[in-house]
Amino acid sequence: MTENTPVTKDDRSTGMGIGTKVILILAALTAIEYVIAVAKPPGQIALIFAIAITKAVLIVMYFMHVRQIWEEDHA
Amino acid sequence: MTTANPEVHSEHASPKQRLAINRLGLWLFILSESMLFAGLLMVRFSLLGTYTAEELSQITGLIITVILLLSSFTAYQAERSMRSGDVSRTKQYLLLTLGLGAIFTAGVAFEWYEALEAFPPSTPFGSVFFTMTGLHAFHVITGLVIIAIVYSRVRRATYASSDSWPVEASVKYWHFVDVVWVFFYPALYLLN
Repeated sequence: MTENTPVTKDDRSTGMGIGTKVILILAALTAIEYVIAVAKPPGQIALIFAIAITKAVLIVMYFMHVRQIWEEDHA
Repeated sequence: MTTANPEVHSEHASPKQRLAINRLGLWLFILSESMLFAGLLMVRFSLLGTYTAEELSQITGLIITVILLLSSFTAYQAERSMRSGDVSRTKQYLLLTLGLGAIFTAGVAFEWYEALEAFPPSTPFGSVFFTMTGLHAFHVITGLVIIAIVYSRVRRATYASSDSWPVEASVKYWHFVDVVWVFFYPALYLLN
């Protein structure tokens, strides 16, 4: 299914699965960020921003569907 | 990537071509907005290094971050529901997004109330904090207004269930606001 195709009820249950997984990973990463900030291990800043970049990539890829830009010509 | 094609730019472009143009335009807008927020992040580090005010409430920061992430999830579900033609669920998820966005804004307002005493805008950290959270909150409020307009139109059945672009566009903008906060939250709260 391309990003332009209407979502069917069956597809939506799959989408709910992906969305739920992504939000759970985002929540876990946020918790890890917080723990790192409290524990202050060596390389704290690098770790925190590596996690922030991972979270941003997840949102852009799965919630914002950035791949739609490249898929249009082939849809 | 969508290529320059005179046919695409005509008023008679097919719905698929118009959708491609709309999406590309929105992504370019988001990219240009990203430059503004990236500049603010640079300013934060060049002025303050990794300093963070101890008075900043870590718990409030964490709570509003989780709320904004949750609102991204409900916005995502609203978009998917609209594409499947389920208007009822679309309205529910848009309302949830609006509610969570309003709670986030209230949380930032509470932070401002506390921050005005602890580190007023005249202090170095205060100026950075109020500028970054203020500009972000302005975008959050803009997003809430856009989603409220889209919700109102979905409720009045202004959009055909096959035309999911208005919902998609407002939701994409909302996700962008969330992505900005993904970087602002650690930059303001978690460094020490």
